Amino acid sequence: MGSLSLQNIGRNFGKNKGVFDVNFEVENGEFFVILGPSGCGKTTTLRIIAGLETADTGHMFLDDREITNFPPRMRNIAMVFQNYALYPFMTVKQNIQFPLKIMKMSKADQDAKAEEVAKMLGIDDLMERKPGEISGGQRQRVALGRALVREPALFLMDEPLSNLDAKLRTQMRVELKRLQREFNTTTVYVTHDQVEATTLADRACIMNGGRVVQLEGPLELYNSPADTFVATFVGDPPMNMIPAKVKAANNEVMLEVLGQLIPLKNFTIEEGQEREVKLGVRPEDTLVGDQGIEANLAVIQNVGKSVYEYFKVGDLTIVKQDTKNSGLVIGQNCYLFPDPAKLMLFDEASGKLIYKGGKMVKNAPTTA
Amino acid sequence: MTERAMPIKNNNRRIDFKSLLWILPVLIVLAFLDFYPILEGIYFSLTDFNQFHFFNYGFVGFANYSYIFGSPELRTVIANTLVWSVGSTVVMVPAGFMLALIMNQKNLRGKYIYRSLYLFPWAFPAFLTILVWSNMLAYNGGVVNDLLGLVGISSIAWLTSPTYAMFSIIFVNFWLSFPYYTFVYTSAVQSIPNELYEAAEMDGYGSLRTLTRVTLPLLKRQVAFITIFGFIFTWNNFYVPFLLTGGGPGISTQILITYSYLEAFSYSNYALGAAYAIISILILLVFVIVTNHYTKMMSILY
Ligand SMILES: Nc1ncnc2c1ncn2[C@@H]1O[C@H](COP(=O)(O)OP(=O)(O)OP(=O)(O)O)[C@@H](O)[C@H]1O
Ligand SMILES: [Mg+2]
Repeated sequence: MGSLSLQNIGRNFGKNKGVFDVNFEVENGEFFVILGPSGCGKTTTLRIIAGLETADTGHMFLDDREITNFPPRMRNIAMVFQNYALYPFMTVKQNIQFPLKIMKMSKADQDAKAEEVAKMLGIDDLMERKPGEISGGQRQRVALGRALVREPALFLMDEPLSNLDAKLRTQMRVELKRLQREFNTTTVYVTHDQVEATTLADRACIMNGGRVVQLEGPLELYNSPADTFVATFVGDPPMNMIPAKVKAANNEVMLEVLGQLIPLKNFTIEEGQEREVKLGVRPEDTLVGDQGIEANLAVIQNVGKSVYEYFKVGDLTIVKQDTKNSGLVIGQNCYLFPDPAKLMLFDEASGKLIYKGGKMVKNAPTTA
Repeated sequence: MTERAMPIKNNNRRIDFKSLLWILPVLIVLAFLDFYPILEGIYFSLTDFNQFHFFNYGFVGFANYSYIFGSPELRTVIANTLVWSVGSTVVMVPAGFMLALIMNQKNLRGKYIYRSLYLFPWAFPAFLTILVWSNMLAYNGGVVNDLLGLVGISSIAWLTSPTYAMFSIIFVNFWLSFPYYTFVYTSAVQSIPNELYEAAEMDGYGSLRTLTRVTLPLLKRQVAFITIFGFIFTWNNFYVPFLLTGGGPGISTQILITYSYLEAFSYSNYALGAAYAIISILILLVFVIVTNHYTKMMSILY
């Protein structure tokens, strides 16, 4: 058990690298995911929580106790490293027991504890092997076991599944979620894989350039991305981003996109004004019709449960996703239009979401 | 079943004579570097090759060996060699290791400056350093005795008394060699991934426990290899005793290699010198085989 709170945490490596003004709270028993592209500061944040890196600014609390300047060993936090960090000269059992060795615990208790954790992870038949003699997935479990055995207040995991093959990763994802439920240990989990984030997280935050750009439930990240970065980072293939203009003329508000005019409901803009925006449309919200943006089908990707069609519109590529083929052939021209209820508009200058689901977003930035 | 029992012809095992051609240069070099001198040495040790039989020496069997085994010096020289090698190894190798650990600390500032500085004495010609030390340790006018005099300790015959001479050459050898061992250990210490330390740190292991539970077990092989290598190298390290004390006073600092030289070139008894060298090599050979059996340290070479 343990609730974690980060307040204005920062670590500046110079040259605008590091993490800046990170704030979030992780509730007791919550599975919290930090998601973001490479180099955005995920590992740094995790290492600051672990105490392996010191924060230049801010405060950190674990269960209302300030731990900002605690050495790692005083924090009661366990970490699973990306490359597992197992000791090659120790057996699986010795690796799992390593954290217990330093506690005042009888040998019998240590054995019982290691055995219990190993059973739960399904590695109890590997106890006498060395890390070099087991598979990557099994090593992963040993690393988890070493963290679990301590019963820490907080678990930190740095891309623990990134070294596994796709199938094992899916399997371990389910396993991790089950284990976390079972132990009910507060977990901060770092990944750059948004599928991992959506399947595991109770809540997730997205980082970019060392800052937290959005903090939400994983589905909200998909459904109402705070800005163009989140919109294009979450979702695969990414959301289509098309430059567009909102125009208010003749008492009508229209979205002008690639020469086409689409009526826009509930958009706050003064008569006679224009506003530069980015139109964001998810591939599954891209529709083919009798009129709209003229496009040319370039590539068809059929992955079984869905079909991705890539269209060329001038220099732009627009992706459309559906459960079945649209019936077009490669090279054929057609008309595309966004699902009016699903389209999103982002402010051109700040990239912030301003319009979504047929209405303006609350507190959206007005014209710059 | 019958099909499976048929032997499969293994083409991989056939010796391809053309490929022998490729290892020929290596064999030739080895022949000149290793086989020829060793065989020649063994042969000399079985002759009466010396000043008097320079042009007409002949085979005398094990006469030189039986002379050596009968001589009272052998025990002293072997004992000296052991004290010299073990004494040097147990100080210079751990000191090098410790310095390597200190130099590789994550938060140490100015690492590169220290590294260059500690390599400097090692890059300096050894005989000059030994000359400097020989002056410093001189009974009269040596800096060491002058300094001792300042704190009221009377002069010590560092290089000319049997009590202190061995201590002095070991000390100078230590001073001369440990930067090299620091250097060698640095790469070993750096090969340990940082996460292994961090994992231990998070589990509550302090620096001493991390050293004994993580670093040392991880470097077991390297430590064994470097220690044994250091021992062998010191065993044959001619420079320090020869230049500092010349084996004296008496034969109190004579080691096998200097004694072999003494016999061969001071007394011009080449055959006897060769026999001493062969004895030295044989002892080392036994030593390497035994230690390798226990430590498997040679495996880091493959
Ligand atoms: N010790 C350090 N000194 C200087 N710069 C650093 C240090 N550690 C990290 N950085 C920089 O800080 C930024 C954030 O690094 P971090 O390792 O946290 O990224 P990450 O989000 O974990 O990326 P990845 O997904 O590739 O692991 C990077 O630009 C990195 O180069
Ligand atoms: Mg990282």
